[in-house]
Amino acid sequence: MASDIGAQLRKGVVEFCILGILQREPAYGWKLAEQLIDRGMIASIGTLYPVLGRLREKGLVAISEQAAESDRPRKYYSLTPAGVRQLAEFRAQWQPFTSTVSDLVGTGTPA
Amino acid sequence: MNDESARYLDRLSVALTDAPAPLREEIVAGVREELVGLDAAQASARIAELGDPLQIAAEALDGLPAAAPGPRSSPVYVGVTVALLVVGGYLLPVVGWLAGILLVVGSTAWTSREKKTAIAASVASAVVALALLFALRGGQAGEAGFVLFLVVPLVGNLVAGFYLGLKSRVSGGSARG
Repeated sequence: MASDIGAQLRKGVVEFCILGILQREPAYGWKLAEQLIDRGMIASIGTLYPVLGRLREKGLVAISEQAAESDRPRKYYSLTPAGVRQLAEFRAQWQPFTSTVSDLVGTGTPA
Repeated sequence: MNDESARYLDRLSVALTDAPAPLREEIVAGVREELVGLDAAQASARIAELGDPLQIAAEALDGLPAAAPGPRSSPVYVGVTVALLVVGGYLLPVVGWLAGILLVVGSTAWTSREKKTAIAASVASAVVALALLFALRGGQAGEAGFVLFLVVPLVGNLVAGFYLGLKSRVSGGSARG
């Protein structure tokens, strides 16, 4: 049950985590996956691409082919202006949302 | 790209048979980017980091709407393909066998490496059979040559068909070991 809760929470926010990473700098698939796997947000690269596909369908992320630092051509994902707006909206709502949830859920200790 | 990387990409591609084609292509292309240009040790390490292709595919498919079984990897498709490959040439000379080869090429039940192996075995047996027919033409040897001309492709295609049956990954199941 605990892992279900974690999985549901991650599923709800992973798109915005990707948008946040991409706002810092465009990234290729594995670089994105590494950061998300290290933070426990996704299990493998298999989870990443369906999310990237949805973000592209929504016009929040664009793709371009560039040579990386290793000179290997790679597909880079970057934020579109719509993606920047979506991320800003998420940030504006996230803090009050987590505060409200924390207030309602409480800490489990008697008042 | 080394053999281990090529095998890994083949396994990943087969594991993603039931994924929508654009998603499958994007995942395989993304992983290929990671493996191109690496030496054997680096590739092994990266493959270990990437993880089991079946697990990657399971996670990619998780949450997608349930897809209908791929028509080119269904049990019926695989069965018809193997049957045509083995006996098609006897039912409809040359054309029946070629139809079997074309179905192998068009299927998503096997990796490109598995397809090449099976087709190579089938073509090789046909070439050997033709060579024997010409080498033994005339007289009693000619009769033996004709029998071998009929039997050698059957044996070769039975081997190829058995190999394909063993390696097939039909939609909705996983015959792959």
